[in-house]
Amino acid sequence: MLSCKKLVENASEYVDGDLSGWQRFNVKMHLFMCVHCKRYMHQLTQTIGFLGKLPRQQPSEELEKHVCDEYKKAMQDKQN
Amino acid sequence: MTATKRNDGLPDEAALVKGLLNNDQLLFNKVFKAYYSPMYAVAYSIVGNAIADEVVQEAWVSAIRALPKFEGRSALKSWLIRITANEAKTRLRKESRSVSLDAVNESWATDPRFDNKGHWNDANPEWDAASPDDLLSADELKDCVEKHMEHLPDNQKQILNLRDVGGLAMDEICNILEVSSSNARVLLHRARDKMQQVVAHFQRTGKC
Ligand SMILES: [Zn+2]
Repeated sequence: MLSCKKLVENASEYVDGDLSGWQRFNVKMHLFMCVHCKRYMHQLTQTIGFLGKLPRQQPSEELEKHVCDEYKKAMQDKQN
Repeated sequence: MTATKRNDGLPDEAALVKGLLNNDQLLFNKVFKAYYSPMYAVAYSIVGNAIADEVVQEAWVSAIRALPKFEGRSALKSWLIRITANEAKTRLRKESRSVSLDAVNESWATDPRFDNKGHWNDANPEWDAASPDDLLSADELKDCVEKHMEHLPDNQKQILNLRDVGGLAMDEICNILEVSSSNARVLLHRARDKMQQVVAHFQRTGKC
């Protein structure tokens, strides 16, 4: 049977849907019987969701102005 | 191109490109803001924090110049990300620095969470927070996770940033960083697993 450690080592492949049908079935069986791994899997999924919601990096005003000016200039050049 | 639902508040691809070619400055500003975060993540992962913004700027200058030739074979966002990655790599060659990605050497062998039969040593307690949003409500946890991300090995940090924070597709990431997909998957999971432990520790102790 799949050990807890092995399951944890490959948990992302399960979460990302990269396992074959048979491997997936094995993990599912384990999760059905093992509350610790079930909890781990849930927490890993929560963690991934959390990372996706971290505040986004914001551009500095200086960069924004520079790049937008660049666009404006390019558009004017095109018209002339 | 896969038809994913847009969640960046921008018009659909065709309208987007048309608007940008027609001097729609308001739209350009929106695009710049919407794609800053993934472009920054790519630049950061290749050249590091110090010159990531310069790379984003250079990438935009190139992109604006190349825009009339944009053929729409890929999404605008993927196209911008490719330009950013190229810009960053050129920059890296100029400064002849390099970030090592190949070492996948850290081992799982002695993971203290498991006994020698691979069973859990201690039960992992349940978390009080039910969802990622609940987790986010704790500012200290946010700071704590960011601090630990900073301390990840470079290669793990890069991939975690691009995939889970920046939301790039795995094959895009493998192209940008020139790693095999199996290596990338291992590195990504190591990083995620570590972050799970950081959150678990915080949930258990209330401390970072
Ligand atoms: Zn288990």
